[in-house]
Amino acid sequence: MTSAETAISLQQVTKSYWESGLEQTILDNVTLNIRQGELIVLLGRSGSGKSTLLNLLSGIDQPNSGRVNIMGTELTTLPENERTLFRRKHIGFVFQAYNLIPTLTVLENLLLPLELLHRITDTDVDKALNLLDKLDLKPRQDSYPDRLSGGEQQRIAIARSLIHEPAIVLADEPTGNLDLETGKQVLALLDTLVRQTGKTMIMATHSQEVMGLADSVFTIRNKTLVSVEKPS
Amino acid sequence: MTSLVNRASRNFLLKHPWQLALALLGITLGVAVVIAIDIALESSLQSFTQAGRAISGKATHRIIGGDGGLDERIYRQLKIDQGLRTLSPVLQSTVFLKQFPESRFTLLGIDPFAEQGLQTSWQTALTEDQSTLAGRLLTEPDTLLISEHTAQKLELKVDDWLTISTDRGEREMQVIGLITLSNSLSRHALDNMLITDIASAQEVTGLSGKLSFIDWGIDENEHTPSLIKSIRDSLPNTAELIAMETHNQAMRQMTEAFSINLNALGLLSLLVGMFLIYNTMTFLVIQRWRLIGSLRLLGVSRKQVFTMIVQEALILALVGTGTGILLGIVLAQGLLHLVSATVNSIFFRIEGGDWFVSYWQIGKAIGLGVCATLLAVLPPALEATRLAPSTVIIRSQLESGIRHIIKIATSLSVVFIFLGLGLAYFSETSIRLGLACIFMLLFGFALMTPGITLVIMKGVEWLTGRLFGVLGKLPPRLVTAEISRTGIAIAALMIAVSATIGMDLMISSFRQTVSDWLKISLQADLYVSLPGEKLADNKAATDQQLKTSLAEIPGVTKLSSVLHTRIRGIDGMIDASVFELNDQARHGFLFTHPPQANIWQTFEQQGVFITEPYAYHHRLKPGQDLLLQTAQGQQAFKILAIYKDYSGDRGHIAMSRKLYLRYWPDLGFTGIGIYAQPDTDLNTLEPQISGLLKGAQSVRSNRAIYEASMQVFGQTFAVTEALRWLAAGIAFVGVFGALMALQYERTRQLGILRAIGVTPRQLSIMITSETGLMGLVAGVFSIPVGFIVAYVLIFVVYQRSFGWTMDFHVNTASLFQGLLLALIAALLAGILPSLKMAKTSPAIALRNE
Repeated sequence: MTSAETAISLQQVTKSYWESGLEQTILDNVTLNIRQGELIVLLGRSGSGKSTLLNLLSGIDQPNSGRVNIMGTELTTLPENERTLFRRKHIGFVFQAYNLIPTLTVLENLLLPLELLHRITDTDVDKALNLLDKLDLKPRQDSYPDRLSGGEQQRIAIARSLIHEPAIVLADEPTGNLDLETGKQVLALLDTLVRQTGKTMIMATHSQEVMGLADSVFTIRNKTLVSVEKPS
Repeated sequence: MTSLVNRASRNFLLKHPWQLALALLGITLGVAVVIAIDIALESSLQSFTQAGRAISGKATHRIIGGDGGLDERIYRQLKIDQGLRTLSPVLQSTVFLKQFPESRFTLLGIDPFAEQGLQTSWQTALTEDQSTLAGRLLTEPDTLLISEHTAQKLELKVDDWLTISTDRGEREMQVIGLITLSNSLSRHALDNMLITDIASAQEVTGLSGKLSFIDWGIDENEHTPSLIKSIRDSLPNTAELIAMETHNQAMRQMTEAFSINLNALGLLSLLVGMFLIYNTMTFLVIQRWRLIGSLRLLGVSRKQVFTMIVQEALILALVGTGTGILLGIVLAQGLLHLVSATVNSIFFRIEGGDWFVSYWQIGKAIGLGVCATLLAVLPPALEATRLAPSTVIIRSQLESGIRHIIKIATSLSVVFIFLGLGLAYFSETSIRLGLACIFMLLFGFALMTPGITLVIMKGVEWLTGRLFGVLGKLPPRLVTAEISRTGIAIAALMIAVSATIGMDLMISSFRQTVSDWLKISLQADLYVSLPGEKLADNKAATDQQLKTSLAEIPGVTKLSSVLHTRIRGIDGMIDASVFELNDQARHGFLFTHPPQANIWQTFEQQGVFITEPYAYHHRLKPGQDLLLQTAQGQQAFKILAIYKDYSGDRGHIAMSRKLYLRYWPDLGFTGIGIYAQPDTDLNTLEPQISGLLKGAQSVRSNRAIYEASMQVFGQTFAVTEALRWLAAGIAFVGVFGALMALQYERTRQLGILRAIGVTPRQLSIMITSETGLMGLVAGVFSIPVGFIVAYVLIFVVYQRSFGWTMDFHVNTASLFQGLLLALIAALLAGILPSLKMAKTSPAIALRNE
């Protein structure tokens, strides 16, 4: 894999936390390379370290050792503020608990990532409204998140993660809070939107059903990343 | 209730130590201020009572005279003719010591053997070795006793000589013993007191044949109303028999208005504290919706939920009240000094003694702290019982419920405001009702605050949204979204700031009024003060001589004079100012109503003026008669006019010297006003006048008197200033705590913002903008409320308390200061949470559910 094709590169990354006076290692010597446009699925039990890995990839958290390189940028060497600016531009997030801003309306939630990059224009508003239209949520543009169902909130969260056209989308258990049917719809939507736009996506989940959509599947076992063969 | 339900609730509280600490702090501070004021006031007044007991012992009654004192023949007559046994004649006078010119001393002349019967604290404190000391006072001339405390302070020892200085000259006296007093109040009572025998005191002060008062301790056997009546009847017109208890009660009544006002300030702090308790308890209940919902699902009844919350509140109340009492005791020691200074300035002289606290005061504080907490927790506890058994209640539903409550609160606020205004109008002369009116108004406006905040935030959101986009909308939205908490924090801050503005406007209006009054009253260029004893031998003649000499000094054009004395009225002694006025001095009187054209001629011949406080306290009007006891019997004097006077709150009467001398003996002057020729250099004139003065007599320019008076004015309000800052401090702690708690609750939301790319700086700006907006709302709203509070304070409370009328002076600086105070308090309160949140890793924030 050439460096130009590599979107994400983790080299010998170790992450541990101190808990009750003891050091708990979550990830130990993890190495991973992901090409641009790939959809990677991370499997693993709750507490196995999937969310920690996503936090390291987004620069939200820093490893104890090792290197994290995203789109040619060495995140581990960047100070906090620059990591934030990098994340703002290149990363889109989808969380299990949707994590929409409760004090902003649906439309405002969508516009927020854009506003962090530049002053909102009419084009931005049109873009957000089109996206809402695609998601059949245009009539809810002025609603506050807690008035929407879980599926609706997660669709908005997906739209928010993509609206500023990041190169990488990180999804942490995006269907974890949804029922089976809604979960399927959300996954299909995520797959379509990400694939259409050629984004690289890493999705942490404990749902086996997602594996069919993935280009590669990994699992975290014994604090390290292990490749899993996709079911045929 | 099962212990597990309690444990579920208790564990929740323990997991939120910040909120727990905040609730305790609210109760602690509120109770601390209330008890501190109570302790400081009681200790001050007790020091006065104890000081009296130190020199009057078990005396039950006292015979007093006017400024002329008592003729010592009265003592002999009572002792011999009436056969009264426990009588003690006393001569008390203020003197100066040449060695310590800056301090005033009290020369106490007593008859040591007569006084023994009353068991005064200083006599009972004498040790066996000192038993002869009292007798030596009688047998050895020019000897005196002082307390060990005074000796230590002045670095004196036994056998040292002191030079007593009076306007009659100087006299050497020797210290023959030191009195050791174990009781701190008695120790303070004997501070700066020089005890000598009565004859020496009469010689030093020139009051030969005179007494200040006679103390009388009635035996239980002889305590009959008929005996008291016969003593009373035997006394001359100028003397009066009073019960010591009545005397002490009169002193307390004198300070009643002051005490009520101070206690009201304490209650204001408690009110602000109650808002904090309410805020915190609401917060704790809101945060536990899920827990309470789950408990209800499991079968916990509404009553059990209510009991659980009230029990928690009770524990918090007891702990908070306990710490509040301890803090209050510490605070009281600082306040005691300020309260004593004010009592000294306005009412009577007290020594800043030690503090003491009674079981009754502690009981009151516990009752107040517990009741205030339970009252504050009642609404959230009732709200909690209404919760449906469910675990899926969402915050917005709760907030929409709260919006319904806000609508009710806004409607109620109007009721409270109108009730407050009605109370102010219809409560006539009651100070307590006047203050209750302020509390009602403040409470009414506080209830209105969340509703007003919602309206203002709507406008702010529109503006900031246009200016700063979606991020700009967030601060006002955060205020609105959490209105159940932000609204109360804003209300608490608004109450404290509006009370601050109100008091500041009142004090500045008062200061301006007093300043204007002083400038008009001080018509003379220089004033000579003649503080000596009024019935000293030849005092009147010497004062008259001095006046003649002053008139002869080149550059002096005219003189005026005043004698401050006490005249016996129908129901006790009345302070009277006896004036000898020239044309210019007459301009120094500010009448409340335009006077009649010939008022000054009538004043010289037959009528009196009364001051505004005197008129208010005695319900007197011009045209009515004032009955005074004269040597020729009771005499009626027509009240000609009421004039403004801010020198004391009891008020006094004014009469011309010509009229006074017709009925009372000449006691000389207390002060002489000197009017200089326009081109005279006062700096040259002053030393010339000074050269004619003796002892404690002094001359001061009108400017110096003005400045000294304004300084006293400042001292008078020092305690008020301190207390209003305390209330503001409590509000600040409240806002700070509420904001900290809010931000902690929002940790995850702020973490999301950080995750999607909001920088720590942007987050800090957002949080401080939110708190700044809260401060701004509180500040802006507190301006009109502060205005109303000031209006009620000036035209209702202070007029009822002291009888003074004041002009309302709008001090724009006070308004800006209030606005700034609210803004800075809120911004400061936002800084720490914003720094903390900005530093918190988004990963940790996102983990924090």
